[in-house]
Amino acid sequence: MPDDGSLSGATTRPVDDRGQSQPKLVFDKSYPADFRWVRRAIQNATDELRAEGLSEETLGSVEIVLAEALNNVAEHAYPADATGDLRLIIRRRAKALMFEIRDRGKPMPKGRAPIGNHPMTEFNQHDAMPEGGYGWFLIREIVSDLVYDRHDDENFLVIRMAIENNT
Amino acid sequence: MQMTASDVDGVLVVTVMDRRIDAAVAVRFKDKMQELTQQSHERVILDLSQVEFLDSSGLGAVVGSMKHLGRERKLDLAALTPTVEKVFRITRMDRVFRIFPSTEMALEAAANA
Repeated sequence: MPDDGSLSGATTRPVDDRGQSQPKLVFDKSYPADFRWVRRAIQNATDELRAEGLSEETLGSVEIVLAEALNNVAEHAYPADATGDLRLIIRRRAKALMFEIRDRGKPMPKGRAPIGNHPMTEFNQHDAMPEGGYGWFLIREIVSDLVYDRHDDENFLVIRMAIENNT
Repeated sequence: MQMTASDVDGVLVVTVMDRRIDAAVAVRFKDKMQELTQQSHERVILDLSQVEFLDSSGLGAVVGSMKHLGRERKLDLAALTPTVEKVFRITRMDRVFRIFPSTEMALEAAANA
């Protein structure tokens, strides 16, 4: 379980969000960790959040973050011949969404979530343009906080994304 | 991956009919782009008006398609939907590609060039 109190990926112990509000559990489902099921997971999650009254703009950001984070699990956590599941839990607070993504695959490299620097150093060098490496950059640009932790062979990625008051 | 290509006065307009260019289809998108751009059009406009979502894999495939065309040929983008536009803006790819509000406007720009 992530030990950063401000993020509180806790599943059993709701932690006060700086006195603002108690989190409301809006989503908790497991899926096979592959690209096709990730599409389904994102669809299900955004449907649920749309019903919560979030704006289309916020839902677009949610979709980007979930696609990058979940596809990362699908691509890197499990070996191709031994795939597993991922679990997506979403909690809502007054001014933030909390995503908790769990899997039982490999740990992240060096036990850390990638820093996510922009892969490009020049913006005009045609041939040098990288075709990958934008995923973590996108996540980091959109979210407010991100914590990765691992306990008992399970990976936890906990992401906090600020939302507008009247979403 | 459903994509169509048509010649408009010497410019190749490729339209993606799928709603998503994501990790599940990025390789197929790139393959299809290569197949559709085999003729030597100097300019290709990629119409993304039907595409509601594109992730970093899709973005990488668009960059890869641009690189595959080579320096002598140009790939422009048209009609980005809001979330697709957001991905291009956040990654600053809007500085790398010419992006037009519509394919019609992209074609006019070609005529004026």
